[in-house]
Amino acid sequence: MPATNGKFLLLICLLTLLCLAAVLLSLTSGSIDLGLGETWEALTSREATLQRQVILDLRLPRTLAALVTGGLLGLSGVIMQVLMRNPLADPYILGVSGGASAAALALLLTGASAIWIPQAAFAGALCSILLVFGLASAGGRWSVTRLLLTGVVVSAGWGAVINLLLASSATNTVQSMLFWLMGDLSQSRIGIWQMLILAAGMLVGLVVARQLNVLVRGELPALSLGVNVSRLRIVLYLTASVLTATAVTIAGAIGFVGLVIPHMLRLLGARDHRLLVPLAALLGGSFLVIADSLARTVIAPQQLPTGVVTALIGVPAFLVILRSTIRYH
Amino acid sequence: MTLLELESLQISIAGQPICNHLNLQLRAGQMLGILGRNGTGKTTLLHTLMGFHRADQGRILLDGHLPHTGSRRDMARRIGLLFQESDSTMPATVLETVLLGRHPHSDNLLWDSAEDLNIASTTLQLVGLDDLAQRQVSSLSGGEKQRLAVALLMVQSPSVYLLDEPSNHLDIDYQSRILDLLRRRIASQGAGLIMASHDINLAARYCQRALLLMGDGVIMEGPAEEVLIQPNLEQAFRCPIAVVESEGRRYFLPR
Repeated sequence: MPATNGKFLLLICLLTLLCLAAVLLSLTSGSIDLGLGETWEALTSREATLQRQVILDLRLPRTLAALVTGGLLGLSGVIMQVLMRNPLADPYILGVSGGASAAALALLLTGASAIWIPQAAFAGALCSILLVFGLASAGGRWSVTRLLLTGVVVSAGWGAVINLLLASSATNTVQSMLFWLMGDLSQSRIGIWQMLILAAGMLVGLVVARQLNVLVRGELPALSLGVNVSRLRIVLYLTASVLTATAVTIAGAIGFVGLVIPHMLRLLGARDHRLLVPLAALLGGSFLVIADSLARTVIAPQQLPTGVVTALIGVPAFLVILRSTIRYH
Repeated sequence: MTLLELESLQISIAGQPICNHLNLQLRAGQMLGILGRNGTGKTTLLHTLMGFHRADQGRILLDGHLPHTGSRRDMARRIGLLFQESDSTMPATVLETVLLGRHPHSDNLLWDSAEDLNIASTTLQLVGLDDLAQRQVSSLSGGEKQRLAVALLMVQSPSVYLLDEPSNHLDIDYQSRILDLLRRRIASQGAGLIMASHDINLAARYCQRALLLMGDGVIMEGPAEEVLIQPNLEQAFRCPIAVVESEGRRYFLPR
């Protein structure tokens, strides 16, 4: 059905175009405005011009970072919502970002080199993932309610640690800590392994997409239709957690993308997870690239934290779509 | 051919016994009705057969094998359940929902084959939902949702059909249409059917065999016309019951 249906092909094409447009917007906008022609020239010429330097060294890495982070968050959001069977679930609900933030802030507090922040954040996230999984599966009974409660409580614990770190920091460190907490791409660079994690997550998502369609009907109906629910849930938990941890490592805790992108797509008609999984990564990436372009330019030369802009443009966009579609629920 | 065999099955829930020593065989083409008061464990018995609930003792054999030795997917081709209630937290259309029944059969990861679509739309036609294929499930009436659930189970097409209160939300016309449909399906596929119901007349009309759950682990099993008689039913339901004969059929009414 979905792949052969014309309406869905149209949706795929439109979102791919949106993604390309977003990347172009991001490459052309900034402190020096470059036209499309200039951008192309800078990308293709071999001369070491200032434009070429700005695009290759500053804008392209940041655009890629936004694209990959958005993709990771969109994908993680879809998976988390099915795992929790809750439309309000987002990638951070089980405390992955809390663990990452606490570790990153602790590093900032000690005044260690900021280069180590991604590593610290990833270690913190990993620690939180294992902690929640260990606590939730202690005693052998692993239920979604138990996982959710454990995740929420561990999250709250990290929240307290974060507040403690903020309260005991000097004013100038608090500023950079807040940027990190709100999610910011200004220092973000990605390497090949973040892209590989996104690709691997997408592959896992596509392989289990059919089972996700069944699982949203509930645990017993899914069992009845032949889904190995307990194994699937562990796969989903680990996949979503690693995707989230990677995103947080790149850009801090950027909110809103993972929660709202899956719903936007469902409202646009992509309810089938075989479609929702790839499209959530595509739309999540495009959305974050656009949000980051705005964050850099709206009050230039000042920069806004990207996480603030995602909410500022995401909330109205989501409400407009919600209003214009009546047949959602 | 024996599709399902229960050997001295003992089931309880929260310390409350449901059956103590249940032996039963379901053969191809057979329909068995499970009757009993509220809370005697009809649903728990079905859930035990599905592997959702663990039996205290005894064995369940599907096609002569212990069900949990194969994969869940393999089991879904052998046994399937019409749930008493179904709800989904995420939106879906009627066609998308009924296509989920192909999950244990289809090997395509990313698309539905022409065969999948064909089976889905034929089945929707059979339950009279073909006009509503593109409707949101949440916009359906209770009876339409119940027919959708029946269609989903028919697309899954297991060897043993388990139905939990199949007449829920259905008007009398659809009650007989849906059960006629399932009876034809069972006969043509060589499948078997077990239905839990509190509707004695429905069970008496369709089932060759009946299982009465009396409560406290006491059961009565046998040919429907021998088990479904006034004294047994009065004992099982703990209320006076009148029997009315009309056009060669017996009907049971509260007195």
